[in-house]
Amino acid sequence: MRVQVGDVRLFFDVEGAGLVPDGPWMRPRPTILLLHPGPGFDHALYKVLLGPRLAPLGQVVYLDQRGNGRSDTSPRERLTLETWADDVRAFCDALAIERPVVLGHGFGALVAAAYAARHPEHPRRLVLVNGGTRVVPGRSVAVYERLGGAAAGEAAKMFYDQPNERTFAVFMRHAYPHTTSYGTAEAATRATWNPDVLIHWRRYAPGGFDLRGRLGTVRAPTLLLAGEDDPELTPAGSTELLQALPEGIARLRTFPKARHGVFRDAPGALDELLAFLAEPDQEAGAG
Amino acid sequence: MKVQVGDIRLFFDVEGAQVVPDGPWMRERPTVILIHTGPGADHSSYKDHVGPALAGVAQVVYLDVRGAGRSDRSTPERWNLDTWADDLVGFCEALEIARPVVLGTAFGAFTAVRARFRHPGFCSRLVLVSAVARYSHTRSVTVFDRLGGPAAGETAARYFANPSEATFVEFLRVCVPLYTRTALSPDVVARMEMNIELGAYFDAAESRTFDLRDEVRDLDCPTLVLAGEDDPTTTLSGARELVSAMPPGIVRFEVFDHAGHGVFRDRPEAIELVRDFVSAAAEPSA
Repeated sequence: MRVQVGDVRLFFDVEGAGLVPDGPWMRPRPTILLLHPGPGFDHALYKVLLGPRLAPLGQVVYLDQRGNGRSDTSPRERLTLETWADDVRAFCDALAIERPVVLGHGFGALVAAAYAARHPEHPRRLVLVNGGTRVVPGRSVAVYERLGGAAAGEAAKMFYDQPNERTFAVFMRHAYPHTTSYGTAEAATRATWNPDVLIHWRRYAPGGFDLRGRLGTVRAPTLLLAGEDDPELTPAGSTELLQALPEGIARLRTFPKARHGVFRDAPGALDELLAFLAEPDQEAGAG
Repeated sequence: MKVQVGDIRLFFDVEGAQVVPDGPWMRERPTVILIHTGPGADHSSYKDHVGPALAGVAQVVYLDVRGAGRSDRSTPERWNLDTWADDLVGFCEALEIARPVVLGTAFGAFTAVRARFRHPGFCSRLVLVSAVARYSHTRSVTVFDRLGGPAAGETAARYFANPSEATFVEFLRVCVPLYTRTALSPDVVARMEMNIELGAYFDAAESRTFDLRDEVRDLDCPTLVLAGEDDPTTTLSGARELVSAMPPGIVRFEVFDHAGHGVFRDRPEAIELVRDFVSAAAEPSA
């Protein structure tokens, strides 16, 4: 399905009902909104593990963010972290989704953090997986080199230095296979790619935003999950993220040997997530 | 969830994904939209059996129609089949649901037929459960009488003569329990967000006049019609009347004995037919 959100139509998919029979009542379940990594990628990877595991806990909504997957794209000046963050709120308003749990991975975690800072009353909870506060190419290149040797490091560096279709192809061949420990072939074929948006991101992201000093408004309880061997958003980014969030609302778990797909790289990460979602809401009035 | 459709926001719920992993690719599944009976009932009674059973083969979308359940109430001037039919098509446009299978029970089936008639080609298949060409109170009273004795027949006749929130109370007590052979669980009724005013309005107005026979003569999508022999409200003879107006070859008509209104409560296995029929809507991707 796709729905109009401001100037674009956004694709979303759903798993699990929002209202379920429970004796004489229809019981509402929370919305769990999943923001995919990328950009230039789409929601498909969540359909394999995370979506089905979370559907018993709430209504899982998969969103293809602006410029990604089956959603509309828009001019470059509307492909910014702020726009993506505000889209999350506007998408929820278009479908009357209230107080969602928002889980973002990689690029999706950056969007989720910016959204929570700009709309602090909106999310019920945040889960920031393999996240960060900014994109620092040198950190990423160093980890690719450590994991995949000089060819991987060089491919990652070239794609940041001169983002274009050719360097994207080289990145996909030499660096991307090291992004996770379990192989990325199926995730690659299942995704509806938009290389233009990823190329735009590589130009825009390194100097385009910095969430340090910008997350003081976040109020939702937040779980951060990071991989020690994540070559995309390295664990230093999650540490920065924890420091940027108000004290007392967030906790960070970093998993050794885990890369950019922390749930499959480290099975303990999923247990950590399920435990976090099972905790009762602290604030009065939240169900 | 809710979405803006014309002048109102309609409530819908979803079960099952539209796009699913299939080996190295993603596969698109059909969408089936479930339209509840009533119109004063809501989508909730589909949630315990019909929806979950179909979610294995399709993306199931539950819709509360204008005036019902958790959708906006709107106003009685707009409580009519043309508007409900246009809402259904507008809802599909708002969410870019292309060529859905539409399953409707009684009122929901009338809405589905009217939508297909006013917007040819909008749906790929129809499943009409407890559908009739038109209501005949005489036929209905006869079946109530057969199932529940003269008191039931008389109560039904009184309600049909003067549908109001007041006469509905007795109808609800005496006649509604005869809708199905298997007793309706009180929980199922309690779970409904009912709008009795809306139901009574429809029963007093358009339910007396509509006749779908001319609207199905050019039916051009595969259609499955399910009827219960012991349905006192949308009677078997009413279903036969509807089916006989449809072009031959496009419709499959299945009659269930020991089954009342809505069929599935008495004959849960009837869902297997629907599941196969919905699966057949999955066209190979280009």
